[in-house]
Amino acid sequence: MSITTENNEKMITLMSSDGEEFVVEEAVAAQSQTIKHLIEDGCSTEGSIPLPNVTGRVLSEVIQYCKKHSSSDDKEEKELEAWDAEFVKAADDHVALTDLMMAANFLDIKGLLDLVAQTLANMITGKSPEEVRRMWNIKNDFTPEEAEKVRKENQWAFE
Amino acid sequence: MQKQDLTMVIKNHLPSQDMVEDILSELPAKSLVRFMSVCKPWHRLIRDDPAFKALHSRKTAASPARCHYLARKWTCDSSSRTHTRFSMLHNGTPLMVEKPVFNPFSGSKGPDMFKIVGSHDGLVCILVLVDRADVFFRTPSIYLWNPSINKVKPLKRFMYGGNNDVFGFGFSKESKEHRIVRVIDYFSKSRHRQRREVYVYSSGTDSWKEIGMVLSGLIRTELRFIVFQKPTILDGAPHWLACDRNLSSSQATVIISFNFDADRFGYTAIPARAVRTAGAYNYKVLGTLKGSLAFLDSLLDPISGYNEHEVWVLREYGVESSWIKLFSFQNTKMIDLAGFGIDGEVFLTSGRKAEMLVEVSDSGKVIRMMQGTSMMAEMLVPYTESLVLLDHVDSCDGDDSIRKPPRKRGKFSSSN
Repeated sequence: MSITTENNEKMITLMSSDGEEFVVEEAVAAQSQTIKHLIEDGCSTEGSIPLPNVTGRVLSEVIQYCKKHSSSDDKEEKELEAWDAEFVKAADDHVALTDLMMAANFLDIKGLLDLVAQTLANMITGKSPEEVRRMWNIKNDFTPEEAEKVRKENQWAFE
Repeated sequence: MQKQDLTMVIKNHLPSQDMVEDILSELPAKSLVRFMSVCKPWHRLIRDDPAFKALHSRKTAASPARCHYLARKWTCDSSSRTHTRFSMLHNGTPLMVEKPVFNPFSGSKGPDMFKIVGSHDGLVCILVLVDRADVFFRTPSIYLWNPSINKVKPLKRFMYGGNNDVFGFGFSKESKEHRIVRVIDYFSKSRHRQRREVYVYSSGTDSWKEIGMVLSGLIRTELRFIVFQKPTILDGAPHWLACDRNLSSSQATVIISFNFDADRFGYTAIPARAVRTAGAYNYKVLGTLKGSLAFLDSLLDPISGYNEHEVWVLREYGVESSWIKLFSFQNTKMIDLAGFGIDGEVFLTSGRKAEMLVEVSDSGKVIRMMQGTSMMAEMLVPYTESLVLLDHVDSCDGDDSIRKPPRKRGKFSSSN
């Protein structure tokens, strides 16, 4: 299904894992290398492009990012940076950011991936290993003796 | 195998190794050292994976907010004994925020006993000179030090050589190893001429090899290295100012470089100062400015007070005709170049016991000053954090010139 708007922009439809449909300009969607390749391979001709790994909530955020970044040129770098900062702030917590990062990773949008990675990194910089484990359900697979040894060797980093 | 491990452990929220690497490579070294305790896959990634270390270094170098300066400072205590301290100065606005760095080298040695040979990719090469009283070890000791992760590696002592040997630190891009070059000059009585021996240390093999014989025709022994300045590292290669053996070191005429990929010396002539004033004090200091070789050429007349300082840049590497005078400025104080900054600033100190650091912009105007900083002129090097040496196991228990960082929070411990 390819629709054309008054401005002669080619539109495509993206479908999230929970069945939500988003109609976007091709130029916007093509910021995702994954979608760009799908379009080039002719996968968008019949109906919509299914994105089985991305929920509608996350996809709408991703599209918001892609829209902003496809309409801005280099002159507006400062403004874009401020917009990016607000954008990740709105994502609220590490769970939402991690979801967003997974989508950026799957859709292969480098700018968004770097932005979210940096935000998550800033979030954990001052945290303890225990807090980081809790954030992402990471299992502590050290034995108590091993854990003690690793910690002792690097005690200064905990101060 | 590593990939699988990570995926298994981080099952709910961070499913891919790439994502873990993307996030962790954005972190400062101190956080990463702490996060080695999170789980075994993270421990392995941070401590042992050379590709991750390289990614972390690349991202750190590309981010201006994570570039610092390492400064060596010295202070006097109440009994007039001097102590050497290292500080990390952060690049930013206001100019810099100081953070003391734990100094692992012997605290009882005076400031003149230390030299920073150079800094590259998070690693600092330190030379501890020989005390006259130190009868058993008559050759200087060399250390590779990563101040961002508190790791020090002492290198094996040389059998001979002395405080006047020339040292240069750098990097081989081909083998991705840190390297040190050591030049020993001596007068051979049997041959009645000046001799020069050259040795190169490789971090990969942890050993020295002599290369002097092969290159003997290329080593210009009529040139004398100016050793009281630290060599400047550009593109992994150390660069020194040099002058004719029979002239004073204020009359530097050439820059000597050493390329670690080819094990070869290179020579670049520098422009002579157009106007000279009899009795005036003239000196040059080498550095790099935005990726180009640069030097400060100062002329000071202590009697008339006349002074002029020029900053020169080599626009095209190796092309002597591409030297241009970037700007000149006047400053009535006795000044020294502390170093060229990451953003093209020129950092100056006014004399050895200076209490301020002056920053000069491209236009030559003094734009900012930093109070309460006394530092040796030659001791300010750009520094970017890295994880290099993190897998090095400390074996310096028997070496009394190395100290371990304090276990408890002390005045040297830093905080985030």
